[in-house]
Amino acid sequence: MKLATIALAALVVLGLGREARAQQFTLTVSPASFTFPSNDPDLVPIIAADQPVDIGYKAAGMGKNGAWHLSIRANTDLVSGGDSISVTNISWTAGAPLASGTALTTSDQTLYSSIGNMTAIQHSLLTFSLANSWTYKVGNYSTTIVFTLSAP
Amino acid sequence: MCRELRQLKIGGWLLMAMVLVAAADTRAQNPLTASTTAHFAVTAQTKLAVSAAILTFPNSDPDTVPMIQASEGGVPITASARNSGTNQVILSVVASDDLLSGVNRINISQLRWTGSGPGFVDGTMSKTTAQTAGLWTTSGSYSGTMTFALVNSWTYAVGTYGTTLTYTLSTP
Repeated sequence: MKLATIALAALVVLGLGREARAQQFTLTVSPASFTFPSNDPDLVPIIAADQPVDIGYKAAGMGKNGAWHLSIRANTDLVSGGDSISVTNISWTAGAPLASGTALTTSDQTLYSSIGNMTAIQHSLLTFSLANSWTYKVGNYSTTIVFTLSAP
Repeated sequence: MCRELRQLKIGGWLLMAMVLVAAADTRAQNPLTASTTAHFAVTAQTKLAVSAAILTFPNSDPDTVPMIQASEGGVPITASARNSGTNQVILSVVASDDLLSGVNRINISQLRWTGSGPGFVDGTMSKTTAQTAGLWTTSGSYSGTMTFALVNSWTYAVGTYGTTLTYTLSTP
């Protein structure tokens, strides 16, 4: 009886293991960095990044109904030493089917949700913008923007 | 019984190994992250807007109007600056000379102003030392007004007087 229970448990775990192993996510982000050029806030109230960011993503081995998500967040505010600029001042416009956003945060925001498999890697461009302000203190600010491809 | 126990043990190890394999694979694929870094360099910058080119003080009876207000009213000023957060932002003003009319002059210290708006201060004009008209401690765009008045006096000689005021915004 005990043996039967173990055998059943092993089968169940084996099945889960196969499903997890079958998930094949691909995620690429390029370039590794981009810049918001310094500008007069009166003349350029919204600063466009110097180049768009290409996101490549693919989900495979999800099964017919396997759900997955692509999300975006920042690790921190824009930081320069002891000074910071809220990352919510960063917005982005995304090429379809990804969602555009008005305020980046340090929590995940969904760019895209889907189910099932993709046959090929899909690329979309994100163009980031930063709300300009005279209140920003002099400094070299930076933050890391993280993209996550996940299945619940 | 002994054989069953041995199989139980083998089954247990097998189970544990499978769980470990599944966990490792999940870590590798779900979630998957990639990143890019955003850079923003904020450089020191100042910008000053003074919305009046000319101030006029109308001729008045010194007994009834001891202080003559400028006809234009308050002068709107917007001082914008980005500093490091440790330097002050200073708006100063200085006159090129006394109020002159040919060989006649009215001492420039007779020209006074009151400042309104956050950081704007009152003052007396000088032709030798720039006078502080506004003072702030951090980056920002500050709007206010300077309302000028001239001390009136019977001693002033007849004439049309003028001088030039120069404003400077700095982050020393």
